[in-house]
Amino acid sequence: MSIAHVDHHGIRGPAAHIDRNLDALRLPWPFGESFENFRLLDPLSRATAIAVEALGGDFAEDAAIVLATTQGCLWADREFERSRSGDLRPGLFPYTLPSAAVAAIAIRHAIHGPTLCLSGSAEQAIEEAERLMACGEASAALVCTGDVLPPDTLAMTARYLTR
Amino acid sequence: MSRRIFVHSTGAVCGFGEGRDTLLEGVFAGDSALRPLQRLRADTEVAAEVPADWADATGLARRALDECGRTDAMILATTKADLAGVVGEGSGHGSPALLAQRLGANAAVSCACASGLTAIALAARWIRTNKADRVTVVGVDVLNDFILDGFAGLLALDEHACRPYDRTREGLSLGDGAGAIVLGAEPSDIELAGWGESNDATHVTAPDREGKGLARAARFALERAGLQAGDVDYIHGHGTGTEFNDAMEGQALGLLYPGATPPFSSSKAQLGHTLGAAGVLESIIAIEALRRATAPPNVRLDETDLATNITLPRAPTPLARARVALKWSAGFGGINAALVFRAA
Repeated sequence: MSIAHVDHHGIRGPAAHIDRNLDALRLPWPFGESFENFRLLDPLSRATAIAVEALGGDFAEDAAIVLATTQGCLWADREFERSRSGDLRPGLFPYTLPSAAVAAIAIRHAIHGPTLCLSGSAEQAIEEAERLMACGEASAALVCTGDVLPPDTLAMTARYLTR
Repeated sequence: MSRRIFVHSTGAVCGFGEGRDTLLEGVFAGDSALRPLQRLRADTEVAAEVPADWADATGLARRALDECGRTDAMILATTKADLAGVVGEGSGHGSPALLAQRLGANAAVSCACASGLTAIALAARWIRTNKADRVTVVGVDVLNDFILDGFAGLLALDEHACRPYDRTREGLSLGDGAGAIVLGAEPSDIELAGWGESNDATHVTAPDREGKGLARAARFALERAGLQAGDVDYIHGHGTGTEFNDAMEGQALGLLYPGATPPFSSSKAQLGHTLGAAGVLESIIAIEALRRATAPPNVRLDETDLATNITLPRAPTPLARARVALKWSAGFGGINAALVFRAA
């Protein structure tokens, strides 16, 4: 298992050790290689993408992705809700679902395995990832857990489990 | 030997009204619950709404659970619940998490429009790995202006009642709903014989144009059940009525069936798209198709633009054989899930 973590103090993981104050709402892509669509992502998807990138390495094509979050897409929910009383921002609507964060990871790393988004804890996510592997549905699992709270608090951990 | 998984009971609330029988009579009669908007306003004329005084996610889920019965282990499937936690009382907690707490669910799944099937697959794993002997899955979503504005903003709403798989389709219609299903290891007349999941990994909203992700999920489900595509007697599709979804399902069917498909239908022209409830409600319909040995109709389907080898019943149609039903869903984020039900 490998682990990476991102929060306000920086990024820690096998592929990155970056010390900086992170602004979840205006986070730049902190790695060298380009990520064309990163600027379009909501903060939850951005934090998840950064934590996964910090893991480094290649992920199995049939890996499961399990995301657990308590607050979900609260930032996107509130921004979209606010836009409804003025200029509607339809581009935000897909990000009012946690599956947007999973899609960002799956697309970037070409992962086609099972996808599970839970409103829950890190322990639950790891347990379900292990269950997916035990049932033969994935050879590995990318487990992402954490939250981004409005306006600018974030903490996201990514783990890569293999049999 | 692996533990087998069976369907024990079900419960439903939808635009037709309360109760599993109300749902099934409406669907198999070819009726539609899509009616002029009552409590909602949007760029569409219709939705399958429940009465205004039922329209909270907690209450709607409890109605389905009261019919179905509860077990110690329970999994919630929802997309936005009723926005509790996002706006209003309890604000500051994600909506699915808050609803799970209110219902006493052990887990909450939010996998967009594939939430229901993903939650049922999760329940199956709990039983298969002995975490639980019986698990209740409840799927629920209640429409609100937030959701309607979201789909309207994406130009995905049909102004009139939706027409899945029809060449004149213009988008989806939405509906309120709650569905509940109890799975367990004790034998019953219907087995959940297989499940499979995949991710398209192509786009945050649009499905894989080639249908490979959905076909992959279906193949995994069939493989787990020890079956082949040719063993399937009926397929309940996702069938939203959006151009990209319908075309993608056609492609997926083409990958699975070089020749004629089994009867294939969608219920969203009848129930609207009930989001987190859709997978559970539509699984109940797929199970009933086996019990009645009848494929439910594709309502408002006149002329299709899908391939000619796809069998699309316009009216309730007797099945030549009623042993195996395949149910699939696809959601934003490229999430695909498929279930195989087998008459035991």
